[in-house]
Amino acid sequence: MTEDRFLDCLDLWGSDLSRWPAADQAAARDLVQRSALARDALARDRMLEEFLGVADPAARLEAGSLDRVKNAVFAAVAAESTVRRPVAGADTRSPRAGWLGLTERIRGWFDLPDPVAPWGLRLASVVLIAALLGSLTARSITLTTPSGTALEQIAMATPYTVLDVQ
Amino acid sequence: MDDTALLAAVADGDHGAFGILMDRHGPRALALAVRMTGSRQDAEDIVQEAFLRVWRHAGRWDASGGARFSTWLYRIVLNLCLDRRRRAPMAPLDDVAEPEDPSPDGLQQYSGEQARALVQEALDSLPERQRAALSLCYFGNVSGQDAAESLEVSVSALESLLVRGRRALRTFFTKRGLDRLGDVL
Repeated sequence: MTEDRFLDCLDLWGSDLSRWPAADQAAARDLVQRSALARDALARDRMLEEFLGVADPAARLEAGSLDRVKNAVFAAVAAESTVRRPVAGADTRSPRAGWLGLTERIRGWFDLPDPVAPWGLRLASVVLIAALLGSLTARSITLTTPSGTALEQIAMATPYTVLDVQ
Repeated sequence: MDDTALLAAVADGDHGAFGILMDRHGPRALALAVRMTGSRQDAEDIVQEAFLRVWRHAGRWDASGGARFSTWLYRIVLNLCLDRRRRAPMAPLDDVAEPEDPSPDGLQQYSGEQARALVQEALDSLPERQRAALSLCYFGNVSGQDAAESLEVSVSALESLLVRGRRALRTFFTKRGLDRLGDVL
């Protein structure tokens, strides 16, 4: 192993030779015995790593840091759960009442998708129902006038006047 | 119970499993965050937000490709740290403390909190990705493969970040009397 290779490995793997690739460990130990430069570089980096270990900024964390995080997380989760995840045993009735609520419940039992969830489908549903109601209404007016359409009945009920003839 | 099983339970709303996950990975996530931000308060806020994201998205976790939960968590923490630093306003120059004594004997005065502040200053002087690589591998003892996945880089790119980061740290401390470090240990 050359000194340059040793310094490259030192930069990459650190001063703990046991963490170096197995193929380089023996050659590195041999070089440390022979080279003052390798020995000094290794000693310098060991000192640096020891200092970094002693002065790890993570030591600023307090014993209660994790507990504070957990408490805050659980509080936020509880707040979200009241909106998104109904608690078991709690009142799970939907805001929709009556038969709409019943259909939702049945859909939930069989894990069926909401048939009118997308807004486009909702709009199409409203148009279809309006057209159906309109058609039924017109048909009922026609059927309830046995001697003609509603317009014909109105026209026939209006008496003729002299002015009309003229 | 391994992390994958715990995450499956979390996806079903199991608070107990979630608590175990936080106990298991919270300390390392906090340590990573405080090294990245230099602030205990910021670190706690970031890890809180990271675990909330885990809670919300646990159902999407897929370990079929051999992915590790810790890698996912570290990635969330790192991204939150980087976002926070980018949003944080720059300190006016008048508020920046004078550099410490750069003489060869300068490090003799460091101990305890001062030493930690010096190391934090050294980490802060590094580019973000070098700091993240060192925080994961050097301080956090995370494997190279996991660190590379957390940083979303190749292993060779991670090694390059580590080499440049270590050289920059060495230069930083050399300017402040690295040769006398032994006097303060």
